[in-house]
Amino acid sequence: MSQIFVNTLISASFFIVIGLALSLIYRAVKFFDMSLAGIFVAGPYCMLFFYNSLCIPLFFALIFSCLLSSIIYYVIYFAIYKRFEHNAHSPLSLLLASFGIYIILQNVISIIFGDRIMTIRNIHIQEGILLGGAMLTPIQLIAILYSIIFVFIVLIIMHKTKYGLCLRTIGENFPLAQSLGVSVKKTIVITYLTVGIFVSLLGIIYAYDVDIVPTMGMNIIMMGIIVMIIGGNGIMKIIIAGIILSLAINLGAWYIGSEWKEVIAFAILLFYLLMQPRASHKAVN
Amino acid sequence: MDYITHILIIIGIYVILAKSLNLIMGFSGLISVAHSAFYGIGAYVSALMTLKYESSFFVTLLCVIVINSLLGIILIIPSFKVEKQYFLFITFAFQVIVFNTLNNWIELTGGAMGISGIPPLVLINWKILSRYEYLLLIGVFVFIICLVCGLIVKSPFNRVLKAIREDEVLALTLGKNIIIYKMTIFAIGSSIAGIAGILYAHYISFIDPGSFTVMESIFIISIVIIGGAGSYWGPVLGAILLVLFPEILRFIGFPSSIAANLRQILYGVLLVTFIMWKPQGLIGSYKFFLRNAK
Repeated sequence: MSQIFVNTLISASFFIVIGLALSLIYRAVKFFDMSLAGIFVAGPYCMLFFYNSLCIPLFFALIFSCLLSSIIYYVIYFAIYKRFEHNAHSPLSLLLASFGIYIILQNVISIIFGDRIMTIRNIHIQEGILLGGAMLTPIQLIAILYSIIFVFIVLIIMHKTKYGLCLRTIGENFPLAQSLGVSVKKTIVITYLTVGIFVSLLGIIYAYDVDIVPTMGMNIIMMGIIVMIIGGNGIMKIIIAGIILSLAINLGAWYIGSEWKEVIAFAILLFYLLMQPRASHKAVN
Repeated sequence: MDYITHILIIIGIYVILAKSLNLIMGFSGLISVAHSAFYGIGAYVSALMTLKYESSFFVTLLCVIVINSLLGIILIIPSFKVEKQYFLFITFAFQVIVFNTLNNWIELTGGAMGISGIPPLVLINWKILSRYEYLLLIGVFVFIICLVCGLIVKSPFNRVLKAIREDEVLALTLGKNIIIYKMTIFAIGSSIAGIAGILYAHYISFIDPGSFTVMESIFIISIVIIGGAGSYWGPVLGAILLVLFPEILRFIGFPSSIAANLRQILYGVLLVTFIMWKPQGLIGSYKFFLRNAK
């Protein structure tokens, strides 16, 4: 049972970071950006290139990978999403376009690096930490700590900085924010660059835990979307939703088998949306 | 010649799929990424009924229509509660659940190994063996489905659906029961996708969950958008172009290891390009993705 608790913490840490990242993007541009799945994958592959192929020291390889992924994410916004603003497109069109961008990113990575599972671990395999009868690897501990740090950073940014205030205003009422002189463009650019860095770093941590394959991004982004839909826009609610989803998946995997994890997660989403009188309004407001 | 016949058969199957999705997208204004799931359900139900119970084509067809219609009706219910973006995730959830069920319920579906040895279709006393016969059969089905879609387009039913698509509140104030209309069109669309599944399963004689993924749904959506959502001939043109275009890559001489990836990139690029610059598609008039679509 203690192993289930630890596994819940590990997967919840990934779900919460992705859920919060998607929530920040949603506040800025009002659609679920599926191309974030490509950035989640781009980070580890950049790391593979800088660290394993070019043999750049780990710290600098990390910085270069996160920066490059973040720039790719910003370029996607600048070259594609930004153009949609002028054409009065619906959020549905942006959502579907983001699916298209994810497909492009995933397949470009597949062509460059191949479709097979690869590893970025060329460090010595360390012994796991025993935590109340449950095993936890050092990289999993880093993932949990990273999610805690990320939550604190988001809380500070959203409540203590001018940028956070601008983003909250845009999220609440976009036209009003524009008419009140809030720097909408600058806020969106900062959001894309920041989210790009944090999500690619999460992707690198994930890759150190379970290796990399070009298709790994979609599943985790969908979990983040489930967390975001159930949790709404509140940071604490997203954290609670992440923990509940993770607990349900791990308990379900324990009782009926790990191959049904995705079914459990999406059944929760279906059940939640069917039970809500107007579920969509939660994330918007 | 066999190669050309095969390509024509595949085009026929995708015309049926695109036509059925066009009924949902073009007339109700909803995007469903579960179309591949309905396609897969049709294929698996048909394969299992034929292999385990040796049931006739018409019994299988009836079962697939009933199952897909019921599932389609259940799936459309949340659309009355949530916005279009959220409805897309509901269909995504359905797609993932169906795919995982096909993949994990090994005793019934054979899991990732799929079902092989699916016998050819038998229509009364006509056993369809050769590719030419399949082409003829699929041609007949394409004709019937195009005829049905044509009748829907010209009927008052279509005009009500268009009114619902443009302004649900207005349609309600006119006394139209939008729930019944949306359920009907979703049930028809899902059933037709199931029919495409039956034809595919018996033509290829082998099915596995890999043929019915979310990417397959995105491909069908791309066909409809590129051809023109809501138009009569748009899905037909979209299916012809998107099935034929990757075949050109084969002749250019790209290595097979990257051909599949290039094909996916091409679909992605076309999808984004059309959404951005030509939301009405190649021959459509309904600008699907604009806020005040006309």
